[in-house]
Amino acid sequence: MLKLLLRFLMAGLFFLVLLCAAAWLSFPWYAQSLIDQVLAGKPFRVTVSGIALPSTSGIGFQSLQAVVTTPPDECNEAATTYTLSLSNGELAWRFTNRSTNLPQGFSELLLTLKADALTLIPEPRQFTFGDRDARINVTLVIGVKEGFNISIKPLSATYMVEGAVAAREKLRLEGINYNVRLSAATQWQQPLDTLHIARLSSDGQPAPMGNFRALFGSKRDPLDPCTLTLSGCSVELFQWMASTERIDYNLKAKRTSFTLDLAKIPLNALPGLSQGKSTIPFATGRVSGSIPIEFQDSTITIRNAMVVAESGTTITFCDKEKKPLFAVDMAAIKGGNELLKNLNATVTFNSKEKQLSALALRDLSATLFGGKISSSPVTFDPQTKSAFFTIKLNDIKLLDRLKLLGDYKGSLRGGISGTIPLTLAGNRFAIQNGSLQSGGSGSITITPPAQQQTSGERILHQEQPQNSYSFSGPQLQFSRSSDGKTEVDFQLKHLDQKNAGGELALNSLKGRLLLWHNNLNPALISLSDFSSGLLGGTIALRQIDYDMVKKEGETIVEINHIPLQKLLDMQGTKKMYVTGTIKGNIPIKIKNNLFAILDGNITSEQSGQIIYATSQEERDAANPAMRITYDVLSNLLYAQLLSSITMEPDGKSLMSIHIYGTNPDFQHGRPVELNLSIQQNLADLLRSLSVSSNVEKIISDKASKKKR
Amino acid sequence: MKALQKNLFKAVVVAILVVGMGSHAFALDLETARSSGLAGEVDNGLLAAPPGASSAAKDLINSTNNARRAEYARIAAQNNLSLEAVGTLASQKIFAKIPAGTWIQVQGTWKKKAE
Repeated sequence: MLKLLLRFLMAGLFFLVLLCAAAWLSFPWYAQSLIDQVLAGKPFRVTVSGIALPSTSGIGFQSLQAVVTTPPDECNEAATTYTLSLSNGELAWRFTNRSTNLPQGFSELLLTLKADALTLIPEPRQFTFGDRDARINVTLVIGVKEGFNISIKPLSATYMVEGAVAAREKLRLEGINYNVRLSAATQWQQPLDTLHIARLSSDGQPAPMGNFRALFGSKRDPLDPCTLTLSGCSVELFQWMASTERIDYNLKAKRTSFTLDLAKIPLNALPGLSQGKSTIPFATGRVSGSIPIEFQDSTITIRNAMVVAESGTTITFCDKEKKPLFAVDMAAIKGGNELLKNLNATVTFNSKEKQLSALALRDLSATLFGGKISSSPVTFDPQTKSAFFTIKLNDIKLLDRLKLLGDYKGSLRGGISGTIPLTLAGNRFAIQNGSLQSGGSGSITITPPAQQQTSGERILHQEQPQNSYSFSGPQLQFSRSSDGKTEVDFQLKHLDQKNAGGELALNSLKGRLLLWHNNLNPALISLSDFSSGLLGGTIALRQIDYDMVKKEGETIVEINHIPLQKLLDMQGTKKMYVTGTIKGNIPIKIKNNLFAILDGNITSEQSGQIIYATSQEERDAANPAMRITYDVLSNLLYAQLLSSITMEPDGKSLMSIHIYGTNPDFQHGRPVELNLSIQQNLADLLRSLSVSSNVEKIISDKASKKKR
Repeated sequence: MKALQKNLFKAVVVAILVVGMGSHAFALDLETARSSGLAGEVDNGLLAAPPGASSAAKDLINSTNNARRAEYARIAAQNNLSLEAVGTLASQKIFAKIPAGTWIQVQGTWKKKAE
């Protein structure tokens, strides 16, 4: 009997063990129905798959999905469903004895949920959130109440977000750090904690903004319950630190508003500017600013933003040899230091099929350098990376801020106005019929680098050659195709060149430049339809193709209506007076920057008068032949003046002048033919702007030879 | 200095006479041209066509100016002056000599000589 009882007990125990073992072994199969049973009637559901065999302290799973729906409230008109997904996770449990004032039969249970990956996706999809190696701790008080009812009461939940990612369409916030700390003691309100976002990127490209920091908590103003507030915010913009006291986000209107303060940001932190002196522009000084921003319905609106440059803030541009050419003084000389003010813009992110389909910029306008800059509406398509828009400039006083450096000195004045129609396509840009004009003027003096002078030159006080240019009324019309072909139509009201040799004044200049238009030879620059007023006449050339690498080109310079007297005045002649104008075609060949003139011809355009005035003493002192020359030239009424000119690249030139006419006071006005040949180095004279030799000297020399 | 000015004054007077003689063949024509508004006197000592004038006196203006220029140049060389200086001096004498109502150009502006 005892044996039988023992056998029954053994069998019962074995059955219990078998039952427990079966329950333990089959737990993965009925766990889901157990969860469903527990959560029945609750506003959320949990789906688990790939459940492992539980241990005494935890259980693993392949995926866990929790879905919770929040009902509409005063701040959200529609219900939102949040789906939390965990993969390759583990739920661990451990009883703790941290709380000492628990009722009899109750214990504190710490649940730790770990997962390789965590995602949170709301629907409607406002964003997605992802985290790796997520760890969520939940503390519960668990116990058995009367009637063997199990009581579970959550005490707290913590989730340390480290390096998480949030995305909205193509905008990604990376490296998100935040400590979620919720507890029953604080009515499940998230206390203030620092939200840090390390990086932002758009469409895979890093955005020039990062290290966003702000204090954020879930407690809201009872009078404004639909507004989330981030306080003490700062962000690095182009490595600058920008800050704002608070950012308010209205959940109902889905609108954010804040004023971004840029505090003394070094200008060299701007993209494209460097700190060191190099070929790219380098900058000194700092700027500050205030940018009021509103964000609503994927639209950012900027109203009356302002950027101020501190005194001494400049951007310096250099040549290929890294020598400074000119600098732009960003701090205004007049009207305070406002660099940019009244900046208004509206940027809209247009979404299509949950993809960022276009970025629209409209109402862009600002006061820049005392003038106005604005843009037509821009729609940027991120797929094709294309956009078309027109920038309008009105009286931008950039010239006043230009400082010429190095070999260049001078001053520029006046505002720049114009329009620049731009097309962006991929990484290329094109301009169609852009135009820039200025009513301003300027003067530039170019002093080549000082060369070591010989003691003789120093004794004779020979100055370094210096060219001064002054100009007014520049106008440009330009187009650029996306492959770089550039066409520039230019005009100047006047351009004066002065140097030790004299002055060359050109007026009403115009012409057309073609740059990078020849695919086979990008170094080829074409100047065409060039014309200018010169000495009361005109100088023009139809076309020259100049190779910047070979330094060669060929053209024909056409001159018309040039008064002869003006040419003589340039030489400072005092005894010779000439009336009439000349025209001519002068073929020019340039090779290695040396000029050659190939059989140029110059003729008078009408009859005129040549007077070589001599005093009675000079006539008396002259030999008979010379006296005849003096007599002829005392009042020579020429009918025709012909001249030919050639010049070798070394400057050696030959000019032949043939004059046909009469002198009414000489031998009863019989026809006179005068031939002059002038050999000289024209290159030196051209360099000093003297376009001809001293004719008086030629005549005197000729007379001297005849006398001998 | 006074002697130079005196000599120069004489020279200019002679120049005007010479120019007058030189253009003797046109004397009547020059006066007619000036009185009919076909030619006017310029403050550089030369003739020019006043505004609205026909080109009827073009040849007369050219030939007279050629003669004047040659004479001014001669005086200029003699006195080490510029032709322009002599022409300016001559214009003052011519302006004084011509009757009221004749076209004159002073500093680029045409007007009729006052009474």
